[in-house]
Amino acid sequence: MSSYLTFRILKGLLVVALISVLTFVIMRLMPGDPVFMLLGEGQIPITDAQIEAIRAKWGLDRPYHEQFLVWVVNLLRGDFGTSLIRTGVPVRQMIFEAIPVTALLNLYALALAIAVAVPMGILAAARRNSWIDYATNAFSALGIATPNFWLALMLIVLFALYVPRWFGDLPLIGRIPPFGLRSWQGWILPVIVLATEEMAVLMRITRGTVLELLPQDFVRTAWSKGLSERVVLYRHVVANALLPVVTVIGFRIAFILSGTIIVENVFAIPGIGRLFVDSVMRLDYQVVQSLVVIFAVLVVIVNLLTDLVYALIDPRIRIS
Amino acid sequence: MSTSGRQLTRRRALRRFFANRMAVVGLVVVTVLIIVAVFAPAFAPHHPTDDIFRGMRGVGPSWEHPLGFDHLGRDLLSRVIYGARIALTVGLLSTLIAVVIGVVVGAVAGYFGGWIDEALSLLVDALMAFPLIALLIVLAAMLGPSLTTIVIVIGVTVWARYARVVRAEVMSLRERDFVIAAKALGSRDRRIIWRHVIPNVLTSVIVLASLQVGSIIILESALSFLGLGVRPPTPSWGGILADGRAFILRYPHIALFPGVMIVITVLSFNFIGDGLRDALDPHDKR
Repeated sequence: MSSYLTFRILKGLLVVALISVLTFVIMRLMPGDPVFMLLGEGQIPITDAQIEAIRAKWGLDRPYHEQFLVWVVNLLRGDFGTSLIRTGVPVRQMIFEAIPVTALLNLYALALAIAVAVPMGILAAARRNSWIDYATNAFSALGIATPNFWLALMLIVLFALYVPRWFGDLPLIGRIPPFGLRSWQGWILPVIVLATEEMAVLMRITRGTVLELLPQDFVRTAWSKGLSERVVLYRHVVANALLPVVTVIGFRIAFILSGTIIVENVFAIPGIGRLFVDSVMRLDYQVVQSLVVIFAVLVVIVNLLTDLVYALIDPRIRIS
Repeated sequence: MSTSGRQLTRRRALRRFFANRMAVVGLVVVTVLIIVAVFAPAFAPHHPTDDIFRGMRGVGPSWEHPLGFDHLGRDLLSRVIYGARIALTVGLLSTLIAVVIGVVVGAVAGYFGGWIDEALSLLVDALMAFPLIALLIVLAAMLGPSLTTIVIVIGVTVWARYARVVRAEVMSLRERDFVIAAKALGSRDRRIIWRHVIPNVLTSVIVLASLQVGSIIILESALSFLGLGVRPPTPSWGGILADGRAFILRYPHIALFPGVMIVITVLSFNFIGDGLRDALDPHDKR
């Protein structure tokens, strides 16, 4: 068991290493020059010597492999370097400022998604062809097909434009701002948008898992023992269904992060996603590279943990 | 005269597919979309970029212009129709690229095993460990926004999923009798892969592909939305959404229609994919 664990950790490290190298290469290949971008692209008269001096200061003139090595060593020491565009600001600080926002947003969205999707999925499977089943399937299909940034825009229009127009200044719904997180109401729409995508997938998985379990022998045994539907459903079926659902949640972390990137952009939320997009556009190497490595490490760790949880809980795997 | 096993399976699958109402609806919608996209000039009432109606900026829908105008005074219906071209082109071409790369990588990894498998699996894992949008943003920014960029960039990032599926299937196929027999007969590996292994994984690949086209269309529109996709003034659904976003509170109708089109298109492809999966399911007794 522990050798499997070590093997997986090593593999994870290799994956992260590979991603780091790839990102480094890609960032260096991008057209444009951060020094020029910083200096306003030719607006300020500046001599070549000064440009060289700035380049030297940031170590951009050293050969590529040297830059890479320097970066990796710093990374391992926890030093993410300083931003090239917001000069002198340590990347670590920028990232740490942005993480809590994104983390909270995702957490709320995930909680909402689980709270709605899992019960509905279970009910839909338990009562096939009922209206709950149809509603769940319809919502799930629509949720998967809807681009989250479009949903975001539609909700913004609805709540910032039409609700005040039709209902006036309602205390809760009427005051939802179209973007920004200045008040707690600002969180409502982004969380809903992020949650919807997850809900759609989770509903499908939960329903599918429960449907697979229902015809199995252990359920029939429970029925024939005379247990009520509630006990059979919750105690036996759901407990077994939760395992695959939990693992799916674990594996979807990477997707949830993708969703955040666009949603943060639409709602102007100062989180990691927006930091990433802005930094890519501005060629802020250090930020992008650091973020990529952090993303990768996060996803690898979560996948590893999910695998572990699965292996620990499922006695079939443990014994084999 | 007897029909081969493969023909029988195909016929049965077709029958099951067409018995599935939603799948047929999806197929009809997609067909209509493809026809409209290919013959866009015939369907679009006006030119998508050149016909600018003075003084009609941001005007909403009317009988002559069912979708209204965009912020520059161009007819939205025509723009949305031409946008279908981009969406379908990217959706289908990128899928093709991804399928080719993914099947080759997956088949090689699954068939040969050993260090080749380890190395390729590492690459696949690295690719999948990453939020796709992030990777796409970086690559698209690097290569500059254009249709070619988008097709290539999406194709080159999405193949990992196919590789994984194909690899798993090939690994199980490797032990099957007909492969062992072919080897015993002295067939070269390349021939075995090409003639025996790949045709058998095609079923799963086709199902996966049709289910993935939808998400590729959404990815393309997301990139265009961020300004990294097809360059304006060429109309793409994501691009029109970006326009709509800038004027979201003033001309809300601009952002409405491209999104609806995306939902309809993706839904249709998903229905087709589901239908194919159910029709080709070997365990289904119908």
